[in-house]
Amino acid sequence: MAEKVSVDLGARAVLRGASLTAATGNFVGLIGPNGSGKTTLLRAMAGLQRRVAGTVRIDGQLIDDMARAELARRLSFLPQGSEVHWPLRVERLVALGRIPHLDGWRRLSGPDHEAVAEALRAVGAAHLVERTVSALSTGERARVLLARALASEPAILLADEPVASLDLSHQLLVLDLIRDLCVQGMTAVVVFHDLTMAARYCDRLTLLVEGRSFAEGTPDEVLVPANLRDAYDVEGALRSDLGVPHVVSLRRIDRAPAGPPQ
Amino acid sequence: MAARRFLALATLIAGVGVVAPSHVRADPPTRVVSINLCADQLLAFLADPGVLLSVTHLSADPSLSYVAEQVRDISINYGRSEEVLTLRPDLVVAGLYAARPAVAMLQKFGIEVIDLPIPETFHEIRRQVRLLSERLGVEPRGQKLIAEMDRRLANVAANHEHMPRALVLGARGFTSGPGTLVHEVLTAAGLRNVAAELGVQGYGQVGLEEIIRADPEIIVVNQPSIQSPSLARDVLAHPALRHLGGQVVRMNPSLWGCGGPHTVEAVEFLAAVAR
Amino acid sequence: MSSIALESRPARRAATRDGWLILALVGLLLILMVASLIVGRVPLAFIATLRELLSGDETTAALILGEIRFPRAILAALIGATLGAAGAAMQGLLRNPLAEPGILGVSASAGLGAVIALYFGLSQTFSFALPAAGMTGALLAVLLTYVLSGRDASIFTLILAGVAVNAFAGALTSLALNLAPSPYAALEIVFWMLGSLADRSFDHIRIALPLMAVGGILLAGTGRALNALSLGEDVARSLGVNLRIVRARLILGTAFSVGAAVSVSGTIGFVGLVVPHLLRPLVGHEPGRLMLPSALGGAALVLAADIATRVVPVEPDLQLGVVTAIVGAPFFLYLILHIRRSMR
Repeated sequence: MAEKVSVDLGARAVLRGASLTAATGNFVGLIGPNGSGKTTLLRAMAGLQRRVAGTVRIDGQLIDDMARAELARRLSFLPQGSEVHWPLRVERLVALGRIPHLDGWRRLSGPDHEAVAEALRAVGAAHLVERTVSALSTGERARVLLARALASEPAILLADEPVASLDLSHQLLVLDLIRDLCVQGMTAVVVFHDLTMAARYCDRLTLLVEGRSFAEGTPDEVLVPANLRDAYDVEGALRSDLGVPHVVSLRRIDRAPAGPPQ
Repeated sequence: MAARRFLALATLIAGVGVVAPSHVRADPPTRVVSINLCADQLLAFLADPGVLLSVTHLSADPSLSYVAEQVRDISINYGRSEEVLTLRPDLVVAGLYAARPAVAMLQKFGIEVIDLPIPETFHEIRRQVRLLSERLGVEPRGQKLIAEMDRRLANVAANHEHMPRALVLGARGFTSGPGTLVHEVLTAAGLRNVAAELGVQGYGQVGLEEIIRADPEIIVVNQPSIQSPSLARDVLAHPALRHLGGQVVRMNPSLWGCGGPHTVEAVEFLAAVAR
Repeated sequence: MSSIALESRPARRAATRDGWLILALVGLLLILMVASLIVGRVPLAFIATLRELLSGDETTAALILGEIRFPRAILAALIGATLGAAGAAMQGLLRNPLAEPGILGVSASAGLGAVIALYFGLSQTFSFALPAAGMTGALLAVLLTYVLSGRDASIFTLILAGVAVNAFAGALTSLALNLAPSPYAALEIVFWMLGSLADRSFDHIRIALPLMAVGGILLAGTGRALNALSLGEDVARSLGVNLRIVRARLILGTAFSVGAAVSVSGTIGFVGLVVPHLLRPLVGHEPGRLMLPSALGGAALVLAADIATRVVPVEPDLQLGVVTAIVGAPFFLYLILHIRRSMR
């Protein structure tokens, strides 16, 4: 999908020719150490970030050539954090996700309400429908915001650390949901902080280090000790326990600062 | 400065020129309303009894209006077009600083409006008296007023050898220089306006230091009567001013706030002081 | 199926609840308009006068009712609607409940334009110099704001640019007062700035209406984008909102409509701040649903304030801007107490 994308933010080159490909129905995880450019790459794929170089395509079509509305219908973007400026009612907030499908002055109608209800049910927040967003707990709010992203019934979901603030049970709930949707044909690119969850749920991983695609492949291929060492400065390995993969980090590697060239 | 004065003058000429021809009628008006304090006074002097229907509420104040006593029985207005319209006037006299929307509204209703600028010279006073007396059909009365004023002005024994230096002082150093009626009055009374020395044009401010250095022989302060709170004390509050040698004189502001034939009283009063 | 039907009903309720709110506001507005026609310093036999007016009988009373009070009431409603809608627009754009139409410097600059016209005595030669100068001032302010903040300005930069324009306009206005040629001129400027609708006529409406209408059209239809903005600029853009165009519409719409309003009536504050704030909880805090009710509420507030200027037995008449300020200040007090209580 995204090919050789380069992004400069201010004085820094944040992305240098990073690439990411996601086939239809794939659950792709975007991982990497802090500051590697994951959020920037995700935003670039959503068409929200100006690129110095590189292209972003959906099904072969450049997003630059797509009408804004068309892009909005096919793609849903869920940023990090939980920015909601007004204390909206949950249902109205999730309904905002239907905007790409509302042309001109058309108001919300039957199918729209159903999509909203379905999205809320899927994230396990149906009981919160009458509540005000500002009165929710962090976890509840995160799920409601995800419901907003899902309400537009997107073909592609781009989510930036959607489970970061959720408890274990709800993490599994949300990730199970995304995986189910992928099975039904949605493509998901999700930025992960937690490598274990990434390994467990993703079909493919892209590891980003300092703005470059460092590694790409299945979790087994990417989360090898060598990559953990080079990318994360950590001695560790990908293990399997109770039938589920998890990443174990044993100790930090203290890299001596590089001396002057000889 | 000069450009602004020119613009004001051009405005005045244009204003009068535009108003006068379109509403020149043979018959003098019988229902006149004034929405301008200065016009209140002139009309009180000139109009036949019963012709002047209403004056501004400011005329009730003797510190502002020379004719406060005279217009006691005339109804007052606040310059609102609703009240003026109810009186069904055939002439309204306004000032350039009267509420312009009200004037526009009255003109829309086809009522004749005469705009009078604030008179800054005796020449202008004469012109206004002439204008109004012609319009009101009382030219003889107007001419008599002007003649009386001119006679008294001529009689002021202005001594041009010894011309004392005087300064008219208001709160925070406000004063009047050349181009104002105050300046004309001082000159006619045989006084030299210290404000002119200090470079003030029109209404302006003089600084404390300048006043002290100039050391005027006469300081004129506006104060309506002996009973009113001493403006002189406020104006001259600063300790430095108390050491000035000159004499402090109180002037009734209604004599020259709005220029009119009565302003000659101010000249006579100051001329007496000068001697 | 039944559970889905239950969950979708609340959304439909939102639309009908708005309908009731708007109906109530329109009713309030009509009552105030009639009151505005009845109230005045000159007592009129209202029904009789109305009959005279409708039958074309040109008595003084009918003329007062038809040519003075009627346009005044309409103008009050139009100006109030403008200020209310612009306030809602600015609060939505800047995502801040303390924003108001003047925040980008439009009112202050319109005021400055008018003050310059007063200062040079232009209003005495060309009676509609004041509104024209006011609108020029407002447009220059918008231009300056855009130039200062650049093409893709953040909210912060926009607000800063507005602060700069406000400061500049304020400084020049103070300068005009300082250098006023006479105490009368200074007083005229001061009183104009306090705001008034006295003796406004249909001519004033004819002058202000075109730009007000243009502004209103620009503002209408931004509702959905404002709602989307609740989730932040990134999400709004990903939902298909063209931020650059929406921002331009909101800023220009505010500039045109508020500029036209201020140049006819003088500066009237607090309406654009108080009305959206009060009505927001009634529309579920959705910025998109807020604009129309704010317009109606603003119209009602200004009408009520204008009626107050004629009813309160004080001479000279209270200026309109003074009445709205007297309403606005306690409102701020209440806001502070409310916030402190909710923080505890």
